Amino acid sequence: MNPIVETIRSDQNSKALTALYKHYPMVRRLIRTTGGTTKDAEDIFQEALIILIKKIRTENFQLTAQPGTYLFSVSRYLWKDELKRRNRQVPHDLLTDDNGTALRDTETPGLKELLEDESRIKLAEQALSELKDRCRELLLLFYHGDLRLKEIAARMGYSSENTAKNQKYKCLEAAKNRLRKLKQTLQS
Amino acid sequence: MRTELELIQKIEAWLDGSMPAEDRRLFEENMLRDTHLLEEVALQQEVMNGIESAALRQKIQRAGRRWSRARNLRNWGGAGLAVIVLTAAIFLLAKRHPASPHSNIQAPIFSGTGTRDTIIPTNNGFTLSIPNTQPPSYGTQVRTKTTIPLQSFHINPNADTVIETAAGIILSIPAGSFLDSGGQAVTGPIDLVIHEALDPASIIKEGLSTRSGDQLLETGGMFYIDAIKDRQTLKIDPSRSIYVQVPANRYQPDMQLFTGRRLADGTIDWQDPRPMEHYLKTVDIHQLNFYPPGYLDSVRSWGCNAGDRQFTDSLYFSFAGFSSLVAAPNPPPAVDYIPRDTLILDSSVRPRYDCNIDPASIKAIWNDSFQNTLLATREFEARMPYIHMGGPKILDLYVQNLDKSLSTIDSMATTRHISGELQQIFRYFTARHDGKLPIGIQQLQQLNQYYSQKTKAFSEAVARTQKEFWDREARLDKKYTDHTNDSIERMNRNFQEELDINFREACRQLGYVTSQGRPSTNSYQLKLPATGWFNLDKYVKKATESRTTLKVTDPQTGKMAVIQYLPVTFQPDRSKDYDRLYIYLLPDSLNSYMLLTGADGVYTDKLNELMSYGLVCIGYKGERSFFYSQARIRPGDHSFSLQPIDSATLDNQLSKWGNRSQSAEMLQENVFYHWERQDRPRRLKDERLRDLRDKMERAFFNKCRFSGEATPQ
Repeated sequence: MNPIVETIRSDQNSKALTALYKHYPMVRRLIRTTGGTTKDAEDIFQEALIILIKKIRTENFQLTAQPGTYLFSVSRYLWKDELKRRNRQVPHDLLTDDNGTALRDTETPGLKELLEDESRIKLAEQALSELKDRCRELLLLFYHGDLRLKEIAARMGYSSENTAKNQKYKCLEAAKNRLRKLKQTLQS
Repeated sequence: MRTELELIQKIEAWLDGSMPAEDRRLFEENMLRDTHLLEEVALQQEVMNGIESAALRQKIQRAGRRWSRARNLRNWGGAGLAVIVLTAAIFLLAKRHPASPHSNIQAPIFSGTGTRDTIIPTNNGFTLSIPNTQPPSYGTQVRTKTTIPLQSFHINPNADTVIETAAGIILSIPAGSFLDSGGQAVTGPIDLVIHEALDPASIIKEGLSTRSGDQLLETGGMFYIDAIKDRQTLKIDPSRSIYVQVPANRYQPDMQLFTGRRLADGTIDWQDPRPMEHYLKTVDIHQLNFYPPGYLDSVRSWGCNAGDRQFTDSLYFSFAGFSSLVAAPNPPPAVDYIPRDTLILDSSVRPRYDCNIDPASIKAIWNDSFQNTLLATREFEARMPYIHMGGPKILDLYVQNLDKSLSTIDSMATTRHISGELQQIFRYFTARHDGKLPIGIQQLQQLNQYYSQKTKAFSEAVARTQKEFWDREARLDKKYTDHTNDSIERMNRNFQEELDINFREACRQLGYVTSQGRPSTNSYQLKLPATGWFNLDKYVKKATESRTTLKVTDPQTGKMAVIQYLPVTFQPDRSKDYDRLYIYLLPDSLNSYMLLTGADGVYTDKLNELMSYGLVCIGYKGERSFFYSQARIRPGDHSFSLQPIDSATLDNQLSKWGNRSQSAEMLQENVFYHWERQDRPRRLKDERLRDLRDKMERAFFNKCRFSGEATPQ
């Protein structure tokens, strides 16, 4: 198995993530040479990394390509999509291969489905981003901060673990309400 | 706890599996009946996914920062980082005390003033004072008795000399400043005696009064200079005046220069006040620094030669016209939701004209055309960092008003285009009363025209050159990108072909008829019952994707389909010795080869029992190639050594292996490897160049620090 995949599965994320960043210059080059800025490149690469990590975390997934190739392919797909979203012309390079034949949208098996999931998750992320800073921080700390409840309560300045817990449920409720509203806006 | 919160708690327990089995069953039954509950659960699940994603994003951003830090450290070394930290610290200090770096007063000294003093005829004493409206509160007569040691400097009057006194007065003495009693410039070494009393303690100790007529003065410090040669006191040539900077704790714009006159009773009366303005002196414009603040330090910290003017110019000016080409980040709207289809990316195109000065404008003023104008002064240079912060409109203001005094333009700047801290700084400049330089109307018009035309022409020329260069490089890069695209295509093709083979085989085993192959992805979900094709296709797809053994039973017929995937491992000898090592598996039923990925010299994959595989392994070490091949690979572990091979034989071997398209692809791959190796220096050079441009862009073309429009990343 690829060592990167193993590191991520064994939850030593930060090390693996930093290692994966070595593929960033190639993505940056692609995006800078097709009308994007460095900021675009950073955003796109981040998105591709998120997709890769999530995919690796799902059981049964076997990386059939080098992580770099996978990241590049996903980034290219995302960038093409983003250019379309901005109503900009998609450069020829991104659309065709050497023989001028159009490339398929799904270059990596399962990517399209994954992206559909991603767009739903993005909406939830947006709902979170619209919460108060304190609420968002509490939720992130609680579920992914590798801290004990007691430490979280102390760090966020809550009088007891119970208060922190209660507050967390209130924040979850706020996030749910926000997400519900976002979805309604989308449908109308 | 509120019932809503209790529900949230319950849903969470169900989602994370911590709900007891009995409750769980009940909860699930409820869910089936109650669509509202089902929706709530789904929504909460989505929120949890969002939290996971947000946490992951945070970690990724942190990793990105770590990565670029590590990279910068590698590129610059530890010393560079220290320089950056220092620069940041200095900048902060300077911001907090905007006046401090510039609080020196330049006061010209006139010759011959000493002759008015009757007791010490050659005394050149001055005090920097403003009239004090308070009535005198203490004795107005203090005996002059020197208690502070004189400072004496032995200097050569025929050379430009700069000296700094103990209290920090800086005297800049042009060659030939001193005249003897006959009015001739002196030659040979002279002694310069300086006496200074800048702080109240020294002034009192020195016994100096601060009286002008019957008024008491608030003093900014007093000093006395005397130049002696062969016991003769010298005069100062009026056309070659000495420039003096007196340090001040607090800059007071109303300060005037008084000349000391010793009275018969020994006290000094300070007379002849003169406002300290109107005096600007031009210097060679090429000696000045018009770069953005911190530019040279940054260049140095990036490991480049900041002393090489040609280099620093070419780097900075290469960004001419940049503003019009590149988009700036735009923060996403905080509240209003904008529907987006897949991604939320916070960028849209916005020119950066209002923030960053186009280097072309700097290029247009930083040349001989502007010699002897307001711009060729140290005073203008001192404003330049803040003009950079203020943006192009401020720069235009100075360039287009060369006939006005600097302080007038400063005051125009404070009322236009700027605010906050920067406005304070320009108010401070206004208060310095820096004067003007003579300029003819015609020259003024010519220069204005020159400025706008040159800026435009230069900006266009550079942008064009840049574009040509990068377009050319992009064409070369395309070969590289295409190669990656090809690999992706190849994998995709392999996947589709193998999927078809597996699908057909599964159908055969289950007894389905499959003359047309796999149903098309767009239609099968609609046309076929969920228990038939759809499930089979899903199973086969999943097994093919994860390369695991497929085992599926048709619930109606009880027939079973099995397609095995068996692990295989390759361990070439001394794999670490090679620059590159490629292991190809050549499946007989597919059109492309499979390139294996390995770690620590072990390459693994799984073999589909429906196919027969050949193995080709190529190692590269510099110019040399090594080769190994084997037919009919069985599952299990394989070790082997590669043998050296010349390039003709390698081509020959490659064309023998696999089917026609596979060998063509491998030959192509071999050619690409050699091209890539030769092309590597070019790409590395470009990468460094892009890095440098990126750093420049971030440091100098990405934000409006003082206007608060954008925040540093």
